[in-house]
Amino acid sequence: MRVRSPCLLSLSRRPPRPPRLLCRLGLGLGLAILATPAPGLGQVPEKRELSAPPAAFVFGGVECPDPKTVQQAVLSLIPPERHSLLARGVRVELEDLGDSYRVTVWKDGASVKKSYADPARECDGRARFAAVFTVLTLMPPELGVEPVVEPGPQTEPATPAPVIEAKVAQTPANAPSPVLPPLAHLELSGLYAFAPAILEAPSLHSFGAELRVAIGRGALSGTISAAYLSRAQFELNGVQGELSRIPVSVGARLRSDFDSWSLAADLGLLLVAERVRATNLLTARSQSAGSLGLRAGVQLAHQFGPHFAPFLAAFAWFSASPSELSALPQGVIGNLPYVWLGAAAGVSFGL
Amino acid sequence: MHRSFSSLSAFAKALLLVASTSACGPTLELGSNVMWATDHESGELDDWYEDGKGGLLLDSANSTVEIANGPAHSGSYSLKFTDLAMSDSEGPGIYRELQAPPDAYYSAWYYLPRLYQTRSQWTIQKFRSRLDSDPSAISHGHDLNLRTLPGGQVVLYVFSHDPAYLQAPLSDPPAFVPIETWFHVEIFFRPRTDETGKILIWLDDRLVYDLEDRRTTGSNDVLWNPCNIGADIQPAPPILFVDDAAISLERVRPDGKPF
Repeated sequence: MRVRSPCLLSLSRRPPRPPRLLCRLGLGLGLAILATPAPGLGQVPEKRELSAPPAAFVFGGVECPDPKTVQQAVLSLIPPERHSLLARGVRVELEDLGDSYRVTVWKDGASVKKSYADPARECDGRARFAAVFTVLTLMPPELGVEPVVEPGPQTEPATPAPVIEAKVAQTPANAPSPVLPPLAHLELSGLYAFAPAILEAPSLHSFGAELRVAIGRGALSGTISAAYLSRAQFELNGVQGELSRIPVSVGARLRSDFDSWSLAADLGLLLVAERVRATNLLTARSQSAGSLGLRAGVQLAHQFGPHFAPFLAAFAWFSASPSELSALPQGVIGNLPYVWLGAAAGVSFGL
Repeated sequence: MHRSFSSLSAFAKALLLVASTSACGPTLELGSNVMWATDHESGELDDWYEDGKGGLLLDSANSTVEIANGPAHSGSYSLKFTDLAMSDSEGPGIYRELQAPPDAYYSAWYYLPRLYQTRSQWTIQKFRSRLDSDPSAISHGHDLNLRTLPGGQVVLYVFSHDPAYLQAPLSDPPAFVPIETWFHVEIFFRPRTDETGKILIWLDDRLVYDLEDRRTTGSNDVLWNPCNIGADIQPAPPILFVDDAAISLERVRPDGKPF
């Protein structure tokens, strides 16, 4: 039995079209037919969030092939993000002619028909061929096939490869553009930060949350973030206090991908709004200030599809000139930390 | 990738430049543990009279307590005590009065303009209290005294009017005070009518007396009373300057900033 790839067919008819993507898709379809009933373009299907399945578009009062089986096979051959194609005027009709069967694909009012001989009546095989024919008909630009208007029903030898007989009057749909990685990533994380006691700075630790946006598809991207650290308690020279921080950063990220893992290094300018309050003074007041510094970090993420990636991160915040703290009668009792070290865990959403 | 690294390197240099050139951080004033303080720079005694909880304790000899534009520990003004009474029991004084005060630190700077020979007790500070039975009467508690030694040194010592304690042992090494130089006296005072009171005294940041487990007051009322009282201090009249006084929940120390 000889199988003619639709790709080869298309090349023989329309050689000027770039064949790489078309071949990959067509060959994948062929392999899907020959190797396994599992769906996919010759690849292991990618686990994704599927949208709601489209309404029934395969019809026919027959059992061989079964319209439901054909519909499932069609859905499995088309990437989930392209399922919307099936919702726009697509109708597939199946006819069981005994030793043969006929598939009619309607698209926007035009139809393409194909009859296959199958004296053995292998219903599963019929369903697979019907599904492939449907997909090839609905996606002609990728396959390079110019459907031909069907002159009338005919019976063919037992050749499993579909031969398109009808020509659709309408202009084929635009070829889908290559799937690009998300331009922006929205990262939400919980974080823990610790400031060691260095020089006149107290030791503090705090929990918080951070929202970060990374913009860019390449290895280098820009980042902007805002975080909130809950009140951290400290003691300096007999004065007990609480510190809240809102660090905001603007920076750059350098990322490398390893299979489904990505490792990123961040560096940025850090602006921190701080609010500090003494808790054991006779008269106390809250004070706010801002400081300028640097933020550096590394992040390890695992991609689950282009739109979801949990990650772990470690970071350091530096402030060359932290605010001094003073109280009466001691005078200057120290300063806020120079360095914060921390870790974060969160998820990244590709947008 | 190489281009990315180059870009990142340039970016990092720019960030370091920005961060390193940022100005020094501001100083955040968190508050105060100072209950009361004065530096006399108003030129008046009004701080001592604040809230009606203080005032002068004068004698019948018209001794004076006045703001002096003379030697000052900070600024231009200090408090000048001139003792004309020449008595063991009365002389010029000023006080702050506190009702049931917490454990606190009473701090002041003192200045002796010259060397005086003490032929009697010379008291420069008292802790006193009003009697519950007669609020108009002020009892004596613990005194801070000076005595001139034969070698010309002036030593600071503690005397209690409570017969159970009287004069505390002199500190070792002795608590000598300087002449014509400001010295800092700070006292931790735990007022108690039973034997759980406590007095600690620092002279120029050195702990010189540690008196625990004793009655320190006759009632819940406490008067802190810098003064200049002596029956025979030569040459007469003895003069004493006081400046930068404070009552605080935290030690002031000589380098403290109670204002």
